[in-house]
Amino acid sequence: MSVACLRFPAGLPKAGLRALGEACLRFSSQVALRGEEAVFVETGGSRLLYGEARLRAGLGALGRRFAGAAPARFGWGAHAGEALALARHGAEGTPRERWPLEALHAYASPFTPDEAVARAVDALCAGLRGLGLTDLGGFLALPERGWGGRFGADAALLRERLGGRLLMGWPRFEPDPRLEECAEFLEESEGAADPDPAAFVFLLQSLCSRLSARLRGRALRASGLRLRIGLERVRGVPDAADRVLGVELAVPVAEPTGLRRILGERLAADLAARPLGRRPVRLTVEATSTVPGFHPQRDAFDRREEEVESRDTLLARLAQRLGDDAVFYARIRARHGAEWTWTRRAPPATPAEEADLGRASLAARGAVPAVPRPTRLTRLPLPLLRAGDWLLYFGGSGKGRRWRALDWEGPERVDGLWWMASGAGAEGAPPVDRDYWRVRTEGGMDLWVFCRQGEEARAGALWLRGWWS
Amino acid sequence: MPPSARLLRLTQDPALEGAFIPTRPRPRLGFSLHAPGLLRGGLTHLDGPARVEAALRLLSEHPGQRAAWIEARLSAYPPAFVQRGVDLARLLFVEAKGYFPWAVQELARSQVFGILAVAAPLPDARSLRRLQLAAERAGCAVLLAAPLPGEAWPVRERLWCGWEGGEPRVRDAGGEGRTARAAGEGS
Repeated sequence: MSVACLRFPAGLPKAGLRALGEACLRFSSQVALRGEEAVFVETGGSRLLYGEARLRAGLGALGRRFAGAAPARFGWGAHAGEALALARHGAEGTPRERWPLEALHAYASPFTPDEAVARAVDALCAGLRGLGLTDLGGFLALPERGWGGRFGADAALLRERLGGRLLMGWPRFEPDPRLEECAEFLEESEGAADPDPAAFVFLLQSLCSRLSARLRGRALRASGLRLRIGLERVRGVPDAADRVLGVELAVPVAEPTGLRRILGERLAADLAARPLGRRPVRLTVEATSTVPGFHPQRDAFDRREEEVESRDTLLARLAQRLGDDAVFYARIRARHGAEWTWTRRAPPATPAEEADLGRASLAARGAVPAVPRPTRLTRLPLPLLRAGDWLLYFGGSGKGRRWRALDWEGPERVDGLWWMASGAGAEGAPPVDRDYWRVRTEGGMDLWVFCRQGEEARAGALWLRGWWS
Repeated sequence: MPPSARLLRLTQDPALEGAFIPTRPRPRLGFSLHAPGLLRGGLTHLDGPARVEAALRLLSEHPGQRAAWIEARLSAYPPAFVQRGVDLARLLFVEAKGYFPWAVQELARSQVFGILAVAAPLPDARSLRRLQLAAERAGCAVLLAAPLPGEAWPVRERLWCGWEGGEPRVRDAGGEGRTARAAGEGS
């Protein structure tokens, strides 16, 4: 067993310590708290190996996120009591033998502050001092035989615990079901109806950082977010309702920068459209819906996880601003007619969907027709007028163009489904009875032109559908 | 004496031999249609009637690279991309509408994509400059397959893409000196 302890000598609010414990689940699934004082992480059974320096840095960074500038002490030992004692008394490399007798409190009850146990340990310490002992070195130097008879059963138990035996079971740690982070605006901005945008950015940064750490600890990614701005209450004026902004993410995100950018852009757009009119006093960010994320214990030798997160964050931001259907992968369908041979597909949100995208891409090679298709398609068929060798398009608003046709290649006849009644299409697609031509033009551009079969073809109507570029 | 000439004289001074670290060649992407390859971390303008064909050829030759295709209003036809050997699972399409410069910038800056094909014109030199900086930082090969604005000095390479015997052909559009320099930089 190997246990790390992060201790806050000045104490931390219970909610903050619980949030920190939740974030620490990224290192190990075995986490415990001690009141408002310390958080323990058991790393001996973790999937990944941790060195002391790395764990110290990681826990320290998390501690700063949740505790701000509050000083924190780190301890790492073979069990929880030793780690806590080290965090309390092991400053500047003091060896265990030189720790004061009060370090026995940490061994006696590492997880729960217990007054009865504390009194018993105090009595034991007083007795040991009467014998001339001042530190743990002297305590350990006493002969092991007869401890129970001389100092009582508790002292014998403590002696065993110092030797790494008869350890306490770990209490269960259950994170809060609600993923919510809240922060107050500074009083300095009192009286300002229009808040400083920098204040929002500052608060959003810390809130998203903490929310992201909690999400990562639980191996989750946020697929929905809610931002709530609490407004000032003014005497004699009806209360204003909190401003609530919901954000549904096309691609789930857990990375703090991504969360901050998405929420910041949403907030900026909303404030530009609807000023608050009151001084904001509180900002709350909540993950309203989540999806399973990647493994919480990050692999130091594999950057793929970070790349996937960067991509997902980018896609979520693009989709948030441009719309869900504007950021997509293409899926090929075996259909007649140029318009229905492909569809838009949302970016994959899970590894399984990504694998499915790869399979669909392989299958697409067999679904495309053998005849070369143009690289660009017009949004709608554009009517063309044929005058001798010339093809004319009157687009209106000065958008007319003309091409001199040099060669007509085709036709490629695309028919509707023979078993369906005339005029009906497959899966909502209109009927397709067209002759397509590839027209080489004088300027080097090739056009994709079709005419409908029947009366319209006999009348000479042509439509521009795409071009090679 | 202009600074460049002064610097040239300094580098040729035998007393200072070894004092100057030669500039490292910029990394390039191999491209069968253009022997020196295409610049990574810079902007390359593809002009001519076969510019999209050339861009698709590059995408098909680098199936391991993540790529993005961005336009203001989409006109790309993905079945044609498959016919030219492009892996659609590696190609993200973005239809940016009114946010086109912003979206291009974000895609380049993300460091997610090795190749970024910009198939609609950017409005001005400033957005090109921003894109150039983002591409340099991300090591991303940015292909501009659309007309350029009047001032396009951030574009480092200009290639002309035309047809020859039904096959796309690419040649340097920046003159002989540019071709020689590009060949010298090739890795």
